[in-house]
Amino acid sequence: MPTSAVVVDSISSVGLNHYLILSAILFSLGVVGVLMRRNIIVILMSIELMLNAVNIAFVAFSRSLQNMDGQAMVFFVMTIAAAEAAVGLALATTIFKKFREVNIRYFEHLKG
Amino acid sequence: MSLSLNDILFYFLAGVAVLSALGVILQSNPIYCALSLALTMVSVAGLFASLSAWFVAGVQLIVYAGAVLVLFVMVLMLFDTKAEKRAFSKGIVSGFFKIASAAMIFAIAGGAASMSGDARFSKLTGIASATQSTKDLADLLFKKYLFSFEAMGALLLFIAIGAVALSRIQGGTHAD
Amino acid sequence: MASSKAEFLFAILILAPLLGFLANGLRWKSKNYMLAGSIATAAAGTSFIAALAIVMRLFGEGAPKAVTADFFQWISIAGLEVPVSFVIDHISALMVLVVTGVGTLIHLFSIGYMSHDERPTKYFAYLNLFLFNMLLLILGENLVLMFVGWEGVGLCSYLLIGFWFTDKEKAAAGMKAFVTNRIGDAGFLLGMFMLFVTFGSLGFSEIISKVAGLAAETGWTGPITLAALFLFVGATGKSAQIPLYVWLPDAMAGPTPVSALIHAATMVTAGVYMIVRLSPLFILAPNAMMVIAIIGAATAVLAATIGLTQFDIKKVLAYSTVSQLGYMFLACGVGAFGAAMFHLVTHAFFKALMFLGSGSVIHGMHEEQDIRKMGGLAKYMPLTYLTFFVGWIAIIGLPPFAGFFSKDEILWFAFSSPHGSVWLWLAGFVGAACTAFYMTRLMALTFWGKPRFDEHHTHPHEAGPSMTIPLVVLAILSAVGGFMGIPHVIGEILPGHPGNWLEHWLHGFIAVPAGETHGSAVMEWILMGLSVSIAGLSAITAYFFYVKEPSVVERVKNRMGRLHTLVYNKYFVDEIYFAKIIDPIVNGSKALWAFVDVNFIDRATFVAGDLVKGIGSTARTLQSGNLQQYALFIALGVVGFLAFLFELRASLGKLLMQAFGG
Repeated sequence: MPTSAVVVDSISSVGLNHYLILSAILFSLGVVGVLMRRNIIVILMSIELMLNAVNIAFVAFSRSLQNMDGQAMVFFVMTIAAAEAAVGLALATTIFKKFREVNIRYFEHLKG
Repeated sequence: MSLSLNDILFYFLAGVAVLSALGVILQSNPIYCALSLALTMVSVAGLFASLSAWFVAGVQLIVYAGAVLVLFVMVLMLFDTKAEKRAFSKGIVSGFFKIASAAMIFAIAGGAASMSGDARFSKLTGIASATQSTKDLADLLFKKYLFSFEAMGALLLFIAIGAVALSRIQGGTHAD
Repeated sequence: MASSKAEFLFAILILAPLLGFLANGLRWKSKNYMLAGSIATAAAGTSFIAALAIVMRLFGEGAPKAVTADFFQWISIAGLEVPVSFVIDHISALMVLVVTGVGTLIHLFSIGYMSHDERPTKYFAYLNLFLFNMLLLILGENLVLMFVGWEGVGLCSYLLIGFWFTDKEKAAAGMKAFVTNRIGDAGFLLGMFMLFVTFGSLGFSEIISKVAGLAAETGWTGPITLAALFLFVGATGKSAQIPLYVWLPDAMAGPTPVSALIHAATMVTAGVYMIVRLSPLFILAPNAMMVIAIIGAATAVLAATIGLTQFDIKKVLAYSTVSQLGYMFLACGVGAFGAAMFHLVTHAFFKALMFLGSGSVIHGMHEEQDIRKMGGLAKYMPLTYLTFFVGWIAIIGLPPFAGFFSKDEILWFAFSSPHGSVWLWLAGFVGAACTAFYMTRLMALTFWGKPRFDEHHTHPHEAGPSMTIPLVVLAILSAVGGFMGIPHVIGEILPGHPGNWLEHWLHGFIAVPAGETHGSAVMEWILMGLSVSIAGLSAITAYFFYVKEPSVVERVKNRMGRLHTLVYNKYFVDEIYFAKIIDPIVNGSKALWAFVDVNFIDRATFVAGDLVKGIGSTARTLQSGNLQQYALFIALGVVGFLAFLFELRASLGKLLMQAFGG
């Protein structure tokens, strides 16, 4: 404990709440991006933004509760995010090949 | 109320993260969006570090800022993107609803967070050092979450195959 | 165990026609009339033999009074117990033998009659189904089973009257029979309800044991009187009495063997059978009995007078049937249930015979039914003529043929019974005179005199053995059937003094009216002589009119022009029914349709439809395929869910605060 490399300031005014509110802000921005943007790739980026916001909440709780499970969960979320980005970008490539554009409305062609 | 070093670090990183996130959703050229996202990733990694989650911070830098964003940028280069004329979907009413719903999500989540009491972080006792915390995390992943870990590996394999198969399709919904 | 064997026999008796129905009904498209007819006749014959085997048990010393078979409990709700159980006692024994016996003969006759038909298999399937339902009606131990059979025979009657349904008039006749019967059936149901409310049971034996000690009701509104009247309404429908008789003459639209089986011998007597079955109940309602007697007598006379003027051979027989059924109800009404049963049996013999004879004539004349276009058929169809002759003597009541004994017994009881009166006797007497006249007229126009058809064109011929055998058997039965009920006054003078077997047989099973009979043996002889001589006299008159001096008929017709028109048109009863009952209902319904249906019911459905359509087209816009819109819905859903979650938490927290804080 005394060997900790980080200075943990016991009088720090930043607590769990701050991290959670930051997480909420980033998540909401991600939601706006997903709902408003037309470019599929930007939408995928917004989704990454949301996932990152969630990760912040996980790590903050992990710290707050002295429990490493939260960080393990972040590890899984990152893996999923990477996989989702790979598939999403592959789909985007396919759509671009077909329509020469990566607009979300071309997904409407999925409509039965 | 004096700000400690840690507080300053937090506010700085949080400010960078929010501003670059705004950049992601507001800029019309996707390349700039990607670069803003990279900035967000890095600042989030810093936030992880400020929470003593050293390993996760490292992974954040390597996987997100490194691999995933490089992937994004490469795809964007492939598409030869420019600043888009219509970056946002149209419809004033639906746009209002979209922003309102995002605001409500923020209001509820943020409200819940701020109302949940003034939870300061106590002195770290369990997470002693970077080495120790990484050890603990590895312990969890390879014991408690072993099955999930392996399943994740299988998932990544399938995704790799699926992504290759998808990009080989010559457009359209029918493989040829 | 003997009873299990009885159940076995009962199962054969009842299920044989049902199996026949299934065997023919499942291959109803077949045109092989010989196969279909053989199956159906075999099924009916099996039933007859089984019935005979059961009835044999009732004979001899120490024989049981009734053979019963309980199968299973059918309905068991709140005090109403309806077992599926059947009984053959001395009453139903007579009926079951008549139905299966005459039924078998008519099935046999049908093979020949329906040989040129398009759908013989269907016909025989219906015929077997009818027999099955008739057996349910006869053998059921409770009113519910009887009602099932009652409705079942009504259905088969409808199906068979409208058998040639491509002819609109014939289909309409089926409909008329069905609808008219519905009115009666409603009465039957009300009677059943009344009995259940009063006695808490619908089993015959239970009802009869419960009424055993009761005194006769005097008023009109007692439960027994009401029940009896309601049941009689049912009987007027099924047995074609005033005012519901109108369907039976039209029912002649069906194939002639059907008319013989259903509309002469069996089904139409169901009402009489039901009353005889419940005679201990009816005897306690003298007012209801009076109504039955008056309706019966009135029907007997009215139908007989209409019969005088008809030209369709089957219509004449149909009105004759209505009239004879009137006699049976007259007998029931004066408490002579035994005589009613007696006449039921003999009438089944001779009327089935005459219908089959007319069927033979119609068959031989190539579907000609108008007796004005017949005449002199005796030399072309000798066997039909001979058997018809027997039937003719039997129905006009000349001794020693069957009709004489039964009709005379009814007339005697109408006069002498405590419920009887000279007026009822007189009505029966006039009816008998009319019967003799129109039957002789029928004989004269059909078989006697000169042929009035083109002999080069039409070649009347005798039919094959499947049609003549039943005629001969029925002729024999019509000739000797009366001997089972020889009146005492005649028995005394005959060698060996034969008693009234039928009276003895039914003794203890039917109610006997209390009170003094009036009249003596001398009186009985006098009345018998009167009725026989009036029958003979009117028969001779008719013979003279229609064979010797046809011109007289025309003169009489012209003299009584308006009366003749009235009677010829059946007293315009159908027209009155149409004007007073059917048209108002139809017009009222039309008005309801034009106003209530169009303005309210239709509009309500339209509004409901438009509502659904509107909601659907609104909801469809939500499914635009716009992915971001879908994402918006997800986001709104998340908002709603979170709001709900926190609201719940907050109120839960408040609750906990109150619980622990206060």
